[in-house]
Amino acid sequence: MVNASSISISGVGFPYIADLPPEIYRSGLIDFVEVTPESLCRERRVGGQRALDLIPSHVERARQTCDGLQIVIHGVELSIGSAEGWNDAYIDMLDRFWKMWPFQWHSEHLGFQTVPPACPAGASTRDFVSVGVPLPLPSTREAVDLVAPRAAGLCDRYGVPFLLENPAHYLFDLPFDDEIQGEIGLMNAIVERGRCWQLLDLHNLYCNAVNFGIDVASLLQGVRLERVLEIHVAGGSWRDGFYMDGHNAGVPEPVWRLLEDVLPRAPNVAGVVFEVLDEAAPRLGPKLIGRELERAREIWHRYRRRSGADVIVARGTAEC
Amino acid sequence: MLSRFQRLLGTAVRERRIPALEDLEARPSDESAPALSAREAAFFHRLSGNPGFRFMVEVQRSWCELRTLNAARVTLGTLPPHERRTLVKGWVERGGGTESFFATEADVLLDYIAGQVPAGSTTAVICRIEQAVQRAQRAPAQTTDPASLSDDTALVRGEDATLLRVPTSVAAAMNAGAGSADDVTAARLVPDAEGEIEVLLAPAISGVLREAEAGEVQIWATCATPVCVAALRTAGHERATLQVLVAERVLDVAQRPRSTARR
Repeated sequence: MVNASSISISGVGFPYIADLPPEIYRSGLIDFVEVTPESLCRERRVGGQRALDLIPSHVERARQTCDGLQIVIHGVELSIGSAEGWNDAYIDMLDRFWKMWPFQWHSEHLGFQTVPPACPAGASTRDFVSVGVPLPLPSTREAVDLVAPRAAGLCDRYGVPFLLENPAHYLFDLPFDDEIQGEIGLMNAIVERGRCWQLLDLHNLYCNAVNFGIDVASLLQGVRLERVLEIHVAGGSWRDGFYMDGHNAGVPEPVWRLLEDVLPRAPNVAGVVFEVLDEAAPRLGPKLIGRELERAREIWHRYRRRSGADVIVARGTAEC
Repeated sequence: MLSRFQRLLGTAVRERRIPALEDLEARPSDESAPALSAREAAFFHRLSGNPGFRFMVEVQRSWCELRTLNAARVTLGTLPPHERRTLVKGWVERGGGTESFFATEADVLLDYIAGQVPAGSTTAVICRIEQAVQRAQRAPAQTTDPASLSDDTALVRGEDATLLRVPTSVAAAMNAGAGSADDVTAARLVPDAEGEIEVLLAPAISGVLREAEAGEVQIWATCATPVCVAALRTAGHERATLQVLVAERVLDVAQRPRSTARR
């Protein structure tokens, strides 16, 4: 069983974005960096199979930018919920990444983004096609049975905590089993059986609440806060009557309030990350980013006055 | 059940259409299409009235368009906005732009663009340059030790290398844009006063591309099929030149047929 007692991170994080000035990462506003390793890769086909090659110059540049800060992994390409197989190329790449640049924990999105290609009935293929966007899982026992062992396997594979992130999406009315109920129940069941942790994305939760007309507090009530190891905050924008999880703006006030509500009640949280989309970062600029990081730090320190060592001990005793 | 649910939902979003009723029916004899649960089937029956699905499709489309723009950034950047939009939308309509890692797709996309723009136009030339740059960039970096070349080593054009003839006007435009677009314009080209220049693109060339010398152009032409080092030297080419081209992966050591190797 993987525990979180060895984690030495405690504070506010920010994604690695190659196009931002490296000085942001040395400003003292960032305690750790969230790296999406796929952004340091290029894809290659080997005999019809996909492979992800880490680009040495990109990795080296990222390491220089992070300048000794601890890192965590936030992947987007695993497709952990794909019924007919996840992305093996991602795992192979992460194995190599782990050897060259160890991380404190790693996380992925709870959902799927690849499906078998449309093919005649009875035909089979080992390849997959990308949907083009991540899609949510139905809240069913079958989904739990699929994802939980995979999550447990990832915990064991690297010996560091594995986290699943609650997704934002726009599909009302997803199927569910009575024993699981909704998406919160799905996450709870997987976290329990998969011996993993949750990355609680407050902006995603807020998006779904706004778009589905649900009280966000009632959604939050079901979350097992003692199993939350990391929190995401972010901003979004409106389009066609939907509030989008665009990571293209500052954090809205309701999400800051959610953070203030959750932090005192989530004893094992090791870090809060302000998420920004790579493409949006230059437009948002260092000034706005710095302001949001300062606010996150202010909230963090208000509710996390204990020393890092105290937090680590608390996390170890709350082991799953 | 989950497998079929995902296949139907994923295909519905990719192809922007609600599954047909017959797709929702159980096919007990078809192992690749296990039955949907009643709730899963009901979800698809209600999908046409689900505004979230329609919006999801729009989101998918915009992501695909963004990926397509990134996949052929330099080439598409040479076009007026309305032409660029038309090409991008055309590609996404054909199902393109879904891959997060677009390297493989980019090659086909650039072929598509080259077929849509006037032959010989600046955009067409830059399209081929961008395609060659991308091929060189995604190739493995390892090289043969050039010092190991013997007279009977057979050399052939590198699989990921290209030689392009570039009009001076395009080279000048690339120079003007140097520094603003990091891939294609990483290296500055110095064209002759008129006409065209020959440009080599290969994985291990610093900056991926450089101007080719006349002798190198001859070697490139000769090595369309495997040629021994001895034959190239007899034709007047220096060993040092061949070693540079091998080190840059403009040329690769040709694989000998298995039967020959055994002898």
